[in-house]
Amino acid sequence: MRIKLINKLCQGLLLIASSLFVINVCVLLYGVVARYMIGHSPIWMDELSRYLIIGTVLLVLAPAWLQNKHMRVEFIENFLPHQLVILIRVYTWLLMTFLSGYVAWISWQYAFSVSRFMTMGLDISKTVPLMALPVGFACLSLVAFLKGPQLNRYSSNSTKG
Amino acid sequence: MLLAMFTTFFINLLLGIPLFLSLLLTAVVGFLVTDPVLLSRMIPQQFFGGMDSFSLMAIPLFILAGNLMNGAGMTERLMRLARVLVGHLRGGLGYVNVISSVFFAGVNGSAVADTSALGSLLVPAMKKEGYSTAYAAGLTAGSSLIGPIIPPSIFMILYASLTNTSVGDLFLAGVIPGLLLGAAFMAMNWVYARRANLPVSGKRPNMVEFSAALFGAVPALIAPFIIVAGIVFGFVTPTESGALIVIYVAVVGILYRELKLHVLWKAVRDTAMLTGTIFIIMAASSIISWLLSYAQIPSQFASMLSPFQDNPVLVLLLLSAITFITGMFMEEVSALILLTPIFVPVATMAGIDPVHLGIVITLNITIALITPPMGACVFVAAAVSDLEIIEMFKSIWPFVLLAIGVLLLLILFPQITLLLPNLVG
Amino acid sequence: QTDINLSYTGTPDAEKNVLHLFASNLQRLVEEKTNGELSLKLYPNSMLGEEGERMEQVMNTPSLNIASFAGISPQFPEIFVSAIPFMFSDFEKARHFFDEGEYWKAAQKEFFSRTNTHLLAVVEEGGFLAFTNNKRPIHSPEDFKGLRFRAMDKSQVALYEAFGASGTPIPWTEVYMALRTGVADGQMNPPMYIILGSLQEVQKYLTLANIQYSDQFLVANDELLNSLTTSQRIALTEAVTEANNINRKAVESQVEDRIKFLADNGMEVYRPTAEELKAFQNISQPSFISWLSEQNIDQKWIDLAIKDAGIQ
Ligand code: NA
Ligand code: NA
Repeated sequence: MRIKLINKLCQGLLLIASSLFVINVCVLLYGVVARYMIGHSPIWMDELSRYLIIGTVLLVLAPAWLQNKHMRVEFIENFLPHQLVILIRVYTWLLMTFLSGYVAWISWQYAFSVSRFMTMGLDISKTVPLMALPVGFACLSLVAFLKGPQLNRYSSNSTKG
Repeated sequence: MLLAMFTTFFINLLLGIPLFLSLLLTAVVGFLVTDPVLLSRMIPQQFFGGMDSFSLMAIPLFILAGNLMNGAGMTERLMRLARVLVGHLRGGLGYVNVISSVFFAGVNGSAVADTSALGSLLVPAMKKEGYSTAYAAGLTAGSSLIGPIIPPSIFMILYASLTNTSVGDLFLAGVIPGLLLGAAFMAMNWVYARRANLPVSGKRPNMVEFSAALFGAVPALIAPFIIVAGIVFGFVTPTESGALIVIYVAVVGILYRELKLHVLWKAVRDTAMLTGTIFIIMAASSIISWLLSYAQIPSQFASMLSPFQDNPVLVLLLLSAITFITGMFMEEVSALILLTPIFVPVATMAGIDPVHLGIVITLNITIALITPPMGACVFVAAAVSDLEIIEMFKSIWPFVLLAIGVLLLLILFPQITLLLPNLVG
Repeated sequence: QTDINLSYTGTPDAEKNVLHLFASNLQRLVEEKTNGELSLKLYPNSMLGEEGERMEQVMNTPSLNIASFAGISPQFPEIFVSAIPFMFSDFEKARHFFDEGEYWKAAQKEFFSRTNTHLLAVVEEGGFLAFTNNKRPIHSPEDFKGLRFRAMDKSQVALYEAFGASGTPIPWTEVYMALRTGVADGQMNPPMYIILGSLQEVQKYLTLANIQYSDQFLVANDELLNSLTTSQRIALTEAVTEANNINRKAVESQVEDRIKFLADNGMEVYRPTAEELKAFQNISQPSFISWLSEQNIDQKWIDLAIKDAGIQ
C-alpha cells in the first residue's frame, strides 16, 4: 500500500516533468521560427523556457531518488561490516527526510517573501516559478520518509545513472 | 570555515549520500560557521539562481539529441561507416571505437552517453577478436573523452555561462584539440594492435558497401555542422541549436521508420531524469560557490598565485594540477562550477585568453571522468564490459597519461586551440 | 571597525570599468574619512549574484549594491521615466536633473517606501548612448526603416519600434557575434561599451545622438544606515559625493578620446545637427511616453521629469 502510493506519486511527477520538457522544446522552436518569420523572438520566451526546465528538474527529484538515479558514491558499503551499513542507511534516511523537508520549508518562506518581485519577461510574480522548490523538495521528503531506511536491500557496486 | 565544509562534504559523500544532498548539507554547515542569518534566504535564492540561465537550457536538448540518436538507430549507422572505413586494418575495431567517438561527439555533449552507447555495442565484439577486456574497456572510456571536447559540449556551455565567454568561440576552439585526442588514441591502438599481435579481420570493403554505409550515416554526419555553423555564424543561439537538432534527429528517425512513439517518449523521460540529476547538482554547487565568493576565497587564492602571473604556462600547469586532483574526488560538473570562478581572476591576471582557459579546464574536467576513484566513464565502461572495478582502475592509467600528454600540448601551444576562433572571429 | 559589503558588475579594473573606479574611490574615501572605523569590502563581477538577486540581498541585509535599470525596474518601473530618449542634450543637463530635480527627489522617496532601501547616488557610467549599425549612416529617423537592432531590455525594444526599426533581445556576451553575422544590424551603447565589446570591428556607422544618459544606482540598506553614528553617516555621504565627482570628471574627459579611438579604428562618426536631434526627439519621445503609460506608470512621474529636464 505504502509502496504503491510512492510509486504512483513518482510516476505522476515524472509524467508532469516530461510534459514540461516537451512543452519547453516547443517553446524554443517557436522562438527560432518567430525570429525568422517576424524578425524578433518574443521577450518572454527565454524566461518561460528557463522556468519550464527548473520545474522539470525539481519534479524529477523524488522519482530519481526512487530509482537510485542521483549521483552518489556507493561502493564504500562493500568494505564495511553489516552493522555499520545499517547505521549509514538510517542516517541517510533521516538526512533525506529532514534536510529536504527543511529546504522545502525555507524555500516556501522565501518564495512568498519575494512575491513583490515581478519577472522581466512574463511579468508574473517571482513566487510562481519559485514554488517549484518547495513542491519538489516536499515530495522528496515525503517519498523518502514513506520509503523508510533501506535496511535489507543491498545494491551492486554501480554508481551514476 | 573551509575545513568544516570540506569535512562535511567528504564524509557524507563517502557515506553514499546523494551528491546534491551532501552539497546542500555542506552549504548549511558553511552558513552556520560564517553568517547564520543569511542561511534561510541565500540557500533558496542561489539554488534557484544556479539553474536560472538561458544558455544552460541547451544541456537537456543535447542530451535528448543523444538519446534520440540511439533510439533512431543513428549511432549504429555511424559505427557501420567507421567499420567500413577502418575495420579491415590490423586492430580495426579499436579504430572503429575511436572514430565512432569522434562522429558521435558531433551530436552528443556528454562523455557518459558515449561510453554507454558505444561500449555496449563494441566491447563484446572487441573481446571476440582477441582484445583484452581491460584494453577494450579502457579504450572505450578513454576515447569517449573526445565527446565533450568536440562541440557541442555541456562542459563548455557551463564554462561560458560562468565566465561570459562566447559559446561559439569555445566550440570552435574545441575542434582541433578533439581531433588531436582522437589521433592520439588511434596511435595508441596502432601500437597495441602490433604488440598484442591482433589478427587482420574483415576484408577490404567494396565500393557498394562503402557507399551504402556512407549514405546511411549522412544524416547523422550532417548534425554537427548544423550545430556548429548555426551557432558560429549566429543563425541561432546555442539553446535554439539544441532545439533544432532535437527536431532534426526526430524527423530523420521517423523518416527511417526507426523512431516509434514509445521510443520517443522513453527518450524524453530518460532525458528529463538525467537533466534533473545534473541540474540539481549545479543548483546545489552554486550555493557553495556563492559562499566561497562571499568569504572572498577566490581573490585570496588569486593573490596566492600572483607571484606566478608573468608565466601563463606555469599558471595553467598549476590550475590543471588542482583541477586534476579535485576531479579525482569530485563529480565533474560541480568541480567545474566550483573551480572556474576561482581560476578566472588568476588567469586574467596572467593574461591567459579566456577561450584557451576554457578549453584547458574542459579537457581537465573531462580527464577527471576517467580517473579513479570517482570517474563516471570508468564506472560505465566497467559495467558494460563486465569488468571488476579494481581491474578497470588499473587498466585506465595509460589512457589517462595519453590525455594528459594532449593537455600539456595545449598548454604549451595555445595556438592549437585559438587557431579556429581567430580565423573565423 | 565595521565591514560593509559593496557589490557591482564588471571587472575590478578601474581603466575598463567605471563602476570599479567609483567603488574603489568610495572604499578609499570612506576609510580616510572615518579613520578606518568603516571599511568597504568590494564584490565586483556580480560575484554575489545577478541584478535581481543582488537587489534582494540589499533589501534584506545591511549592505550596499550598485544596481542597473534591470535591478531597479522590477521594484520601481518609474525609473524608465529617467530614460526618456533625447531628454538631455549634455552632461550638465543630465547631472542637474538628478542633483536638483523634483523627479529624482520623489523617486528616492517612493523607492524607499517600496523597498526600504535608499537610492544614495546616480553613478555615471560611460557617457551617453550612441547608435551603431553596419547598414547605413543614421542621420534622421527615416534611416531606421527596416533595420534590426539588438535590444537590452523591453524599453529599448519600444524605442526602436518607435523609429520603425525592430528590436531583438540578445545577451551582451552574444552581441559581437550577432552583429558580425547579421542577426542584428545595430545596437546602442556608450563609446566605453562599444570599445569594451570590440564592436567597432563589426559596426561601420556611429551616430552620437545622446540618446540616453548612461547610469547605474548606488542602493543602501536602511538598517545599515541606521546602524551608523551621525558622523559616520556624514562621512559616508561625503565620500559618495566625492567619489561620484571623480567619476564624472573621468567619464567626461574620456568620452572624446574614446570617440577618436573609434574613428581611428574605421568607424564613420556622425554628430547630428540640432534640427536632426529635434527630429529624433519628436518621433521617439511621444511613443516612448505612451509605452511608459502602458507599463502602468503614473502620468505625474512623466510630468515631473519633463519639467525637470526642461523639454516640451
Ligand atoms: Na560533443
Ligand atoms: Na569510444
